[in-house]
Amino acid sequence: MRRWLVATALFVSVAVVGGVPLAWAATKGEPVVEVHKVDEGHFTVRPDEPVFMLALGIDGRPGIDTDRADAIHVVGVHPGAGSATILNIPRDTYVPIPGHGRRKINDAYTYGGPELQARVVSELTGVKIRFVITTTFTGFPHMVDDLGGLDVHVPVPMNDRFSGAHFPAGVVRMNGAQAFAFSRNRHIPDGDLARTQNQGSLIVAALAKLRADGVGSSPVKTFKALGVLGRHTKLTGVGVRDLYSLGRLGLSIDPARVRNVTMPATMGFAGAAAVVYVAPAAGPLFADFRDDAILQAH
Amino acid sequence: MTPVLRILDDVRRLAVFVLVVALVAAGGCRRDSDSTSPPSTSSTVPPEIRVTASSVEVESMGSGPVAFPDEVRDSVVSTLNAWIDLGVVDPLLSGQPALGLDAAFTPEAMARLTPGSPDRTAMLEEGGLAAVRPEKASATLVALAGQDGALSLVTAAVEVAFVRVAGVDQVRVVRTGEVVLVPVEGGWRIDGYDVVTTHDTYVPPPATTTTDGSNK
Repeated sequence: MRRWLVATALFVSVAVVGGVPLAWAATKGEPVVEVHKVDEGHFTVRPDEPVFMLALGIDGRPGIDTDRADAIHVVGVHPGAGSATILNIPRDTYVPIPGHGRRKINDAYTYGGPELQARVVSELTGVKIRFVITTTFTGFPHMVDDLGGLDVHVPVPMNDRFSGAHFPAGVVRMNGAQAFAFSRNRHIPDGDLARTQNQGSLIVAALAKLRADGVGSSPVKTFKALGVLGRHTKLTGVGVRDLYSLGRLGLSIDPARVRNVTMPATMGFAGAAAVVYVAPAAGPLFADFRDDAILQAH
Repeated sequence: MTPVLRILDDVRRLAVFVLVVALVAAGGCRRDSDSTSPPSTSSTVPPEIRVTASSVEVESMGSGPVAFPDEVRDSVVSTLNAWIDLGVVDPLLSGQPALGLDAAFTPEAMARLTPGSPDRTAMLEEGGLAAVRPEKASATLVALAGQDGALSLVTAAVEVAFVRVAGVDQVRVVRTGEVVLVPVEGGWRIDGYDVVTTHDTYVPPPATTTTDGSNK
């Protein structure tokens, strides 16, 4: 049963966003994830209408006063094409936040929760966010362990004593602790940007694992998964039918047809704070992404 | 011959004549019927594909157990039978496209049943006049209840098998898969489906024989 819970939490959150999120609060009877519907009305999947959702990892560990979105991924799915794109947005991206001036993008969650975070991301990228899927910090290693580990693509060799990430390049079978370390390691070329990209790789690896486990192979199996998931999920404005449609949509995607890209950016400073600036190349990428969730020119 | 006897004899002849005419007429009618009627379809064996629920189960997103009410089961089964009647049996018996599908499908599902589409081929049985010989029609129902305990979705794993009979041609048709039903005002409708349909030449089962093993 716990394995089911892990699998379904991962599948709905679609965000194994390492270094960050996925909670294992289920063992304490607390929600594992929150699914928040941004717009009104019944959610219907149409073949030619892309669906965009925001996967957030919230740093809400004990001892941290405020919740901030430390992993930010826009997942765009094109139902008819059966493909998806994960657009990774660095948490330190320096953007306008309505009512608060220019700040790091992850501050939006602190100021206004998932609604404001979705609004800020929408204004940055131009996509209409339909759902926000939020997970918290603790428990991520346990979830990966209960899934039986993930096969993750490691782009460069890692030997980082801070995060504990020690991997050769290539596909590596990771347990929970290893996946956690992999997702946290920023002592690699391109630092934070590369780390964000690696977190996206974990989402793809989790999707592959869930499909291999057959969670989405039939409506009955999805029902069973949702039954378990629903007992550990906070639903805000989301109906059962919405959740079912969302889950079936996500699990219909072949991981081989998922692009994992990170927003073009440059590192810099705003005052004394290290921040990430949106690079000029991001504009065309966003435009390519928002029309159909498929990157034709990138 | 007396006049009375003559009259009686005339009556007998008339009776014989009438009887002969009647027999000839009857015979002629039989011959005429044999030569022009289409293959017998519904007039001889009324098709009765009746889906029944072989089991029901509830998956709940809430904390407590949730029952599968009989009225929901009956309503769902009624919708499944409406699908089979309107989308499978009636088109075969009439030779006409399926009609009245809104009794079984949501508008969103009907929009996917466009003429010539794979969806329509999988879900409906159109394009031919035939009789129907039922073999099997069963469904196992699983409902998904929300956190409030209300049944929000039902999936039916179905297997519907029958033989299409058109003259000497017999084709075994089997539909297997799952359909997902959603509540609508006054009942349930099919909103999604994952159904595979096969058409194979019907092969009668071998005649049953018995042996006492004496030849072994």
